[in-house]
Amino acid sequence: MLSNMLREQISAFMDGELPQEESALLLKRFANNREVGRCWQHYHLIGDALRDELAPEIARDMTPGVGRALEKPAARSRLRRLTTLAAGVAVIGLAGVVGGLVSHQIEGGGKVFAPGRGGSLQQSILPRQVDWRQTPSPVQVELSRYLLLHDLYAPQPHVPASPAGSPVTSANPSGALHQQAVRH
Amino acid sequence: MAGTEADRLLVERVQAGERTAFDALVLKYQQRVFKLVSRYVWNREEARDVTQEVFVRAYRAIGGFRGDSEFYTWLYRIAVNAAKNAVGAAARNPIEGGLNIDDPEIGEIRAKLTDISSPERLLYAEDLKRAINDTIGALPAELRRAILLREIEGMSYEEIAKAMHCPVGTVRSRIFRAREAISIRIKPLLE
Repeated sequence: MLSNMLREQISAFMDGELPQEESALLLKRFANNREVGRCWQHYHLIGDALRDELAPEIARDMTPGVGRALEKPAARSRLRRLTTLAAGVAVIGLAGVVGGLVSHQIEGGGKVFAPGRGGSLQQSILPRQVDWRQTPSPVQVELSRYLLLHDLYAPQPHVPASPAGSPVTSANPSGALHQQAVRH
Repeated sequence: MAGTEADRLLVERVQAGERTAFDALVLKYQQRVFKLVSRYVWNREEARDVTQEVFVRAYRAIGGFRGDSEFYTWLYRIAVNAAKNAVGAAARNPIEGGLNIDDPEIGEIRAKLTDISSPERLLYAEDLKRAINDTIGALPAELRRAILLREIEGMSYEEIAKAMHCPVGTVRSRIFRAREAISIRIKPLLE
């Protein structure tokens, strides 16, 4: 229950007749006391009715609906930020794997994942002044070993017949991927 | 001065990040905006949704409001645009295709037709007005005069004080007492 003094302050504030320092205090009460908002609403409703500014149906308190509507985009943007973060982590991880593979390819002299036409990739990307073989990281060594074993013992993928002239992808004996046209 | 000073303070608070200050603006203007939107939008539920959307748009744009115009003038533009956009979809409806959606009179006619279909709601607003008018009629003359000069004539407390030959503090008290008496009378209708 609001005091008469507070209600009078609300009345004066809505008329723009409350001193500024009292207004500041009153505004703080809006946040902490729902009765203040209700009193404010009723006083304005009286004014609206006297000035004939009411629709045939009186609008209910719209603040909850407005609040909910304002929350929705905020939740969406949080989700978007999380998705972006996850995508960023995935890209960094993928870049790490690709970097490791390229590094391994350089280190292994094109044994695994060498391009079909020989060591052109190695020649094109390897800076001549850096000897990568001197600094293989343990992870790279392990990854190389795994890929080599996988390449040696993994069964060859079955390539189904495809329509004439359509490109299919298959693994060549050295493990390199290349495209070829299947002829029937 | 009127209520625009209160609006200025509230807008400043909203711009500083206080959502409750915006709630105060919503509570203050929701009836006027709802009435305005209802003149354009056929369906009551839709009118309510559009009114809500007006306030959502206003909240998102309020950072750019510099106070060059009064807050309600700014809000009014948002409301009219939102209402026209809502009616734009209805205008594609063959039944309403021939109507001029910019004409508020068309909206008013449609609103009255809707009122006939929902007499209870129409009575509700009329009941409120009647209750307020009855209470005002029963108020002491000085309270009645003070609140009518304020609400209908839009006079400041100082102007009312001069008109009523009394101190400003007395005007403030009379207006409050009048509002309070009416508020007590209409409270059961609003719950």
